[in-house]
Amino acid sequence: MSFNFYINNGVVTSIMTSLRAELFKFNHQRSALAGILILILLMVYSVLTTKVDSTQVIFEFGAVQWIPIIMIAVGSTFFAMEYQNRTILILLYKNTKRWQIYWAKLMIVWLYSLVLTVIATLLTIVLKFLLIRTPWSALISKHQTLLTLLTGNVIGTVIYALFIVTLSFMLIMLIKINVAVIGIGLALGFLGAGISVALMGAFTSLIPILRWNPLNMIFITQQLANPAYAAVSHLSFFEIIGGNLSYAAIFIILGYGLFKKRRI
Amino acid sequence: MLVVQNVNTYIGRKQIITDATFKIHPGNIIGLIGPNGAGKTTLMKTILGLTKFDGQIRLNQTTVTENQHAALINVGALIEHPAIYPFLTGQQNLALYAHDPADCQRLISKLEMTAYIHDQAKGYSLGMKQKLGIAIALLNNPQLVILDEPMNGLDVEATIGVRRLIHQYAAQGTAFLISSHILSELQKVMTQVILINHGRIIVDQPIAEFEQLHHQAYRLHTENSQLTVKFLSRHHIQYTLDGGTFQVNPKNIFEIQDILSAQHVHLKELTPISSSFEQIVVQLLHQQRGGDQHHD
Repeated sequence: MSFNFYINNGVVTSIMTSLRAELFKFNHQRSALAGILILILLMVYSVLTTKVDSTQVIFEFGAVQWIPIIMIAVGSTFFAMEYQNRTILILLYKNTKRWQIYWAKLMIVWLYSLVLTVIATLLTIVLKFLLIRTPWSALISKHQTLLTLLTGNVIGTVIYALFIVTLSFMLIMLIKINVAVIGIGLALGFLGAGISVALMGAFTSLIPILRWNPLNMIFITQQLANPAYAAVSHLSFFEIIGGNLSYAAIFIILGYGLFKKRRI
Repeated sequence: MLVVQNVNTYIGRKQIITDATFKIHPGNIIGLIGPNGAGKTTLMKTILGLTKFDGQIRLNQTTVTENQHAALINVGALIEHPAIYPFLTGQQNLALYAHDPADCQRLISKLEMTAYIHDQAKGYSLGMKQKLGIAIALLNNPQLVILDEPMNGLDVEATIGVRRLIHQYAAQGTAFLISSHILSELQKVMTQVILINHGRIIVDQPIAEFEQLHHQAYRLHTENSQLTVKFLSRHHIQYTLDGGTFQVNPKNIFEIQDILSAQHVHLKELTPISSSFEQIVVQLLHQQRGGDQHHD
């Protein structure tokens, strides 16, 4: 497919141009489509291998867990490819403001997490319609309906995606090896919550500090829907949102600092 | 147009470029020559505001720094390897930067890329990628084009085509800063030569002047080589010695005659020899390395 992307105003440095260029590149990368296909396959796999019930619907047939893992892989690949293809050189010298490059990439990848979340939600609605008779209005836990629980998890996933995308960008600047970043993403997705809980269990006196550890932030994907998880994460509703957003801000600052200093 | 003044470039704590000063005027084709690791690519990256440096770089009176790239809007560059997105077609790669579709099409046809421009770049050969990288650098009628080893991977026809294109753009006022290991190829296009070694610019001259000044060396043959070595060394005169024949710098020939005559060492031969451009460069590099006592 041919795509005309001619810049009429000649100002390559504008934010909109950066966003358009990044979106154009992102759409043409295989990893963008692969991420969507993998998500759908994993959700279907979840249907086929796990007992289908309301809990599955609330957690979008595993998508709540899979989206962060896909995001860390797609995010770091999207930045790493600029260094791999040496295109970072043109990108940097044509732009006066380096933060525009970083910000545009961050926005595009975070928007992609919204796309994944929308796809997961739509697929969840379809699968629920086909497989589960429990109505959306059914009370599931603590007087919350199936719908409110699902909505909570979706919002939690979107906020956690911001944490993950900013983390993946920071890690690729720090480690520079895409495969290693993806490995860390997988470890975070599968082991992060368990390690966090184990740590807090082992050092109970340190819980006031340990509850702010980055591995604990993953609980936002469950806690917004089910406040009972506050007992596991030791963070309140607002604390866990604040924690995620604060970590995202820290990752952006550190990641951008590394990006600025990175030699090319 | 481009003014580089007392520029020092650092990578980490290491100084790579030392006190670089030169100017590039519209239509100039500057050949940037130097051995591996001399600092050619670093100098190019410095001009593009991609490294830490002190000193001044101005492009059309606008200062370029690591954080100010506004002046670089009219600069095209190909540094080290073509910067190409493999998942995009050649056309899409160009479209990412092109201001004018007609200019883009013109370049595609001039570089004879029409047959494959709609294919994904990941399937391109080295030469095809190189041509695409050159096309990206030449987009939007730039005022300055920086090309690092542009002839890499190009076949004979493509090399001739690129050379012709460089001449055409230069005739319209585009200035070029080109580095290449293929000196004979550079010699065919450049109007000025900058020779760099260990991060220092040791020659910055129009090519005609360069050839005139450095083209000749003199062959010296005396009746006693050992004594000649002794006296030349004593007077710190640069020379190379091959068998019994010395090669000396034209600027020293009168002094050499006086010295040897005073010591009653008779000349058997003192004749000018012509050197190729390549030989001149090698000689200059030898001299710069402090090769005044160098024996081949």
